[in-house]
Amino acid sequence: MSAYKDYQINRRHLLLGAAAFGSLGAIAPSLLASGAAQAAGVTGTVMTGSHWGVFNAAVKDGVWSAVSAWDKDPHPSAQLEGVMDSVYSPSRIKYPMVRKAYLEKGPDAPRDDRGGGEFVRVSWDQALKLVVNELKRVSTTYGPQGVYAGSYGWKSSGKLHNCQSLLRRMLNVGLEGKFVNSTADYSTGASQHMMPHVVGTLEVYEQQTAWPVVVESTDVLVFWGADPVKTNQIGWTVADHDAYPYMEEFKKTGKKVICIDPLNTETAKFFNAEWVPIRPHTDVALMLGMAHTLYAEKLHDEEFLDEYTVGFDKFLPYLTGETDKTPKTAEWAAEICEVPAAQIKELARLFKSKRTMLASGWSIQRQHHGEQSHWMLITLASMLGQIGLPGGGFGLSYHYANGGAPSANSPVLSGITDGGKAVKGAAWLTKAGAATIPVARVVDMIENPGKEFQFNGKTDKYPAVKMAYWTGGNPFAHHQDRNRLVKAWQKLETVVVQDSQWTATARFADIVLPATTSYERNDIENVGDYSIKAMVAMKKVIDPVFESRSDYDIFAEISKRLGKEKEFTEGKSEMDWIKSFYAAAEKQGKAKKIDVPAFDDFWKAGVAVFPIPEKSKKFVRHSEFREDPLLEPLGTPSGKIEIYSKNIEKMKYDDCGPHPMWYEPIERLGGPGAKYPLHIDSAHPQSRLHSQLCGTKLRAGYAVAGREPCLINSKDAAARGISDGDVVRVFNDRGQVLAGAVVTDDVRPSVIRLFEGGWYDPVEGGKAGALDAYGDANCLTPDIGTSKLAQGNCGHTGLADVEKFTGTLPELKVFTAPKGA
Amino acid sequence: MAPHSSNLTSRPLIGMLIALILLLPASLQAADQDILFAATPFTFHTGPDKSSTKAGRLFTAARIKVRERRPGWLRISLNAWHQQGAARVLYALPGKRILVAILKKSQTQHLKTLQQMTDADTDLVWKQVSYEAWIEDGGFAPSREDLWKPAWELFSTRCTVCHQRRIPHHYKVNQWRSYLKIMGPRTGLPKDKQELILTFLQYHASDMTPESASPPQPVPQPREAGR
Amino acid sequence: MADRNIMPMPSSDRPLIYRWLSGLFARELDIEQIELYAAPDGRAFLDRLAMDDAFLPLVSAIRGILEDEQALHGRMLDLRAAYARLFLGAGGRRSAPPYHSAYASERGLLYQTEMRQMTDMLRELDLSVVDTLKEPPDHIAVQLSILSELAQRALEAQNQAPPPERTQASRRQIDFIDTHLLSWLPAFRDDCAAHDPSQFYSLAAAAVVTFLRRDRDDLATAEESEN
Repeated sequence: MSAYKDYQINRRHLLLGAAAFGSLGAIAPSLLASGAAQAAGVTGTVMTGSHWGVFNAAVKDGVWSAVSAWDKDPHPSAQLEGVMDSVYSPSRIKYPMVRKAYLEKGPDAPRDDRGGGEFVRVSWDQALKLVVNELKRVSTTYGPQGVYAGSYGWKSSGKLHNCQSLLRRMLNVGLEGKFVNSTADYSTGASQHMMPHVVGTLEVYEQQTAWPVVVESTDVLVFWGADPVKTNQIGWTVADHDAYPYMEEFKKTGKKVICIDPLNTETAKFFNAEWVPIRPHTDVALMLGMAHTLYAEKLHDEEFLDEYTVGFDKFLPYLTGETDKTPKTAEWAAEICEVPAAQIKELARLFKSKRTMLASGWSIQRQHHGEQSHWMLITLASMLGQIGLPGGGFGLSYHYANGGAPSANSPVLSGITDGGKAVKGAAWLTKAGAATIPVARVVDMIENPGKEFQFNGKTDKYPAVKMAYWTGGNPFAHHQDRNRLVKAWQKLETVVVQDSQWTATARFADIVLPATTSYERNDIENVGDYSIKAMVAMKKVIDPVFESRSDYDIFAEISKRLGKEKEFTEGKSEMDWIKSFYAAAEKQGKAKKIDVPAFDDFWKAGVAVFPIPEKSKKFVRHSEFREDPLLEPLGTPSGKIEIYSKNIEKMKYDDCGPHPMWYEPIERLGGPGAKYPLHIDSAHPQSRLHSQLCGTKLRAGYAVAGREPCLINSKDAAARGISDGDVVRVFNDRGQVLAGAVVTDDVRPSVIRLFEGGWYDPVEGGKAGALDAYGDANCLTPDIGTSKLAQGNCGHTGLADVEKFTGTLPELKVFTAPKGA
Repeated sequence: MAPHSSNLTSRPLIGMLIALILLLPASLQAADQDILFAATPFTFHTGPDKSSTKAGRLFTAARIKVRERRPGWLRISLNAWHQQGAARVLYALPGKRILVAILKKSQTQHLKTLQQMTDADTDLVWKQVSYEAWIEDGGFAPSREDLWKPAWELFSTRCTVCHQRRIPHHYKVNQWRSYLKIMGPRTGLPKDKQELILTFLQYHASDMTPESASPPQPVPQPREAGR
Repeated sequence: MADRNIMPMPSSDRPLIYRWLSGLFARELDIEQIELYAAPDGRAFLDRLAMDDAFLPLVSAIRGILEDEQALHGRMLDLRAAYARLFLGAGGRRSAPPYHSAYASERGLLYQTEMRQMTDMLRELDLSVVDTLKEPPDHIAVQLSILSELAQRALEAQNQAPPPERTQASRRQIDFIDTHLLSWLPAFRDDCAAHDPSQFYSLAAAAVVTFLRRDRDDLATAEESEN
């Protein structure tokens, strides 16, 4: 063909095309404008902090490209790469979204497809209009208890962008406090209510006998259901990791470490500890067996019991079997806990003869009748008589936030408040909102509005909530009995979820608001929950991605639309607030004669570290009480440790008696009527913070067949024809999940481990009973209160079975797998 | 005086009478101006000048009665309770550890015992005593109520930074004391402000109903030999 | 359909075709666009595209939407939901994140090297992404727009510039297609096919891949014949 002819044909088509396209310009508006973008983004290193510690972010042209630990972090967490990844993960919520049916029909829309993932993008204006209208409608129609804002979860570090405080702040100033709040948490639900009755204080979140003292004076270090090597990676504020060097030091001493745990944990391996593979859920029985041994062999410390405790005489008849014809002997205990009687006695004698620290974790109280566990532990410790002595007694927070890391002499930053000051009326005396529920009873509340419930000696009624606003949390990960939750969730008229990630909870929302991560905004935080050894400038690393906005900005805007912008912001910008929190610390610094740098110097340096006085390194918990129990009484009625509690006696609860007792839980290995043969150990994950970071590269390091790993003992695996790497179905009457088998004898027989926090991925989103393709342990656990006393959650109660999965695998998408050709 | 809740309807009758009294002309109020409540902590002295011996510490919200006035100084008396064997630590009520004062050891000999009782729940013996000392004038409130407003301001703002707002009457008087030992420093507030919050919470605790909070009236009892 | 007149789109329309394809992914299909397709010019445009095998299935889908006026509103909503499920993260692990980084980067993240390469390229071309599009430049819509721009410049070069520059412009497009588009779009297309409840985007992605492959081959052939 001649070039000229080609040209003519082409030209004709070009004209046709151009004309067609000309009027269709709007079909494809140009995405490109002439002129290169303004100066490329920032390049440099930014220091900031997170639950995982202080770290440096390398930024290149405005993009976060690498992460490295703070050079002063004694034991950086391997999860930092995951932290960076979470910012750029395809699981980011990019735009405001509304559930399709809800967009069409509002709160009257059918709710059975909630969780099905049918969302439509909307503008911020449209999304916020919906949110504000709903807040107003619900509170007008249903009164002050219509909106649930208990919103529990681990959110992000930072004194300003504390999304849960900000949510309540908005509701307090903008909606006159018309919301239902929550109390307590999923970490220590049972013990935080029991400990005040026993030792008159919170105990679980209090500074432990300092590690240097443990290193020096403890002869036998017992980790009872605790795995500090794993769990000390994270902190509620910014993790300091200060416990790790001390754990190294203790290891070097060669002194005895014992791990009482159904698993051979990271901690057990680190210390080369003696592993006591107790049958799960039977710790109280084991403790009773030890206690009985001490008493029978006259090893119990009568003087200590007499001077520092009350009620041992009332507990004794139960221990000896006088009351129920069942002496709690080592033999009796062995039957229940599977630790041989001889070993039980040996341990009791060992603990008595040597300076022993009983460091207990919270798994043993996150169970049916969990209140008994630490009560009995303290009773045992009282019989050993070493409470208040250097390196002796018990500690309930060595595994959490680096408890025992010596406290610095440092100022405490103030932070954004929940605006409750604004709420008028006497209600503030008795409620922290229009009503409050124990946090783990949220589904019970939704299912049973108006129902009476017992809680720590009081009777209360569940409010009738119609709307939930959730931020900084993922109940479709942390709440037990997933299918029950899915079903109950449908009773809510409107659900708003504000997050940076497409968590399962976001998928179960009607309105989804994209929040920035900590790394796309400025904030400030203390470092070290117990040491409080530094303050870190949480400097913005990159600009917000997509259309995400900071939690502060979102709630300020909603407050504005409720007519209360000034009350919410107090006229302050983000940096104004941060400076004001710092100013409070400077003020303390002056009063305590601590050198606190000027704000600009601090912000430039990025971190201010404070000295740790020698005195802190010598801190012994309860030593003051031991030295002078009259001058330093405990906060109990008697001023002493209450092995028998009159307060609890008066409650007359059938599931929580006046002294520690062994109660059969609803289901346990070897228990009466146990329907399934394996105990589910749903401990905190190694490479996540609960469910945070599940959508990142870290998963590649642990996922098996693309799913949550399920550790199974070789005997149990062999009996079921399961090999390492197989996809397995874990199931019981409450639910079913797929997981990837890891055959190992690090888990004792008849126990499987499925870390909590795996992202719920139902094959049929929104359908109760659907198979979860990823491995969310809480599909299998029961949603019951620990007892009427604490109404805590029971994540560590539950039996199941496992089988090799032979069906068609539900499609699993992992973005690192390029396909096609 | 019985502790008040902020809800008018829950005040006992006596509270209402006092409210009425406060409305009366100044001359008739003279007697009640002598009943005061510490708005901040005070140091006890043995005499009306700074150089005299320090005798101990008076705590926020403690109820005192003025016995004598000198320029810049007051001689005050207070009634309080201590656990048998621990005379240095004085509380507002038997079994309820709301700190009123802590005395130097040397001062305990000056305590006058008014009565004693045994707590049926704990078998602990509590003694009601009266004590006199000098304190510097200034920093009082005519009622505890006046202290609760600033206390609430502090509590509602400083105590919601790290956790949900706690509800005062979900906890007992004695538990609050232990909690504030830990939580107080975490607010970063000066000690006296921490104490103000503590007392506020204690007076609104679950076991501070008007009835249970009223101290038993002194009942003439035959003194037991040896006590 | 044996008699169907199959006529590939002319190379002079390449810039416009890429811009049109870009537009399909830049945002959800809205009523404005539907009205444009339904108007005479739009119909003519669709008719012309339908003669090209690469676009027939997609055009049939668009025509299908236009046909059912009753169901239009519902279908639009369905398409918005499909778009959100596939490209805005609502589908979770069952989605097709429309970014080169997601498919090519070591960790399947966004904002990786592949994006940086687009940023560099934009700078080279003295262009920037309009700020109404809050997406990184390795988004399929931006990449297709860049290709559209390269095609436009090549077209101008073809009509005016000397042969070496024409070859260079052609080579540039081939490299761009190989490196930044066909390297990941087949996998993207597969994911759309697996997870698109509406079929629409599955067809759109398939059309892009089909057309790119043919176009790339045509460019290579033309380049060879020039040498």
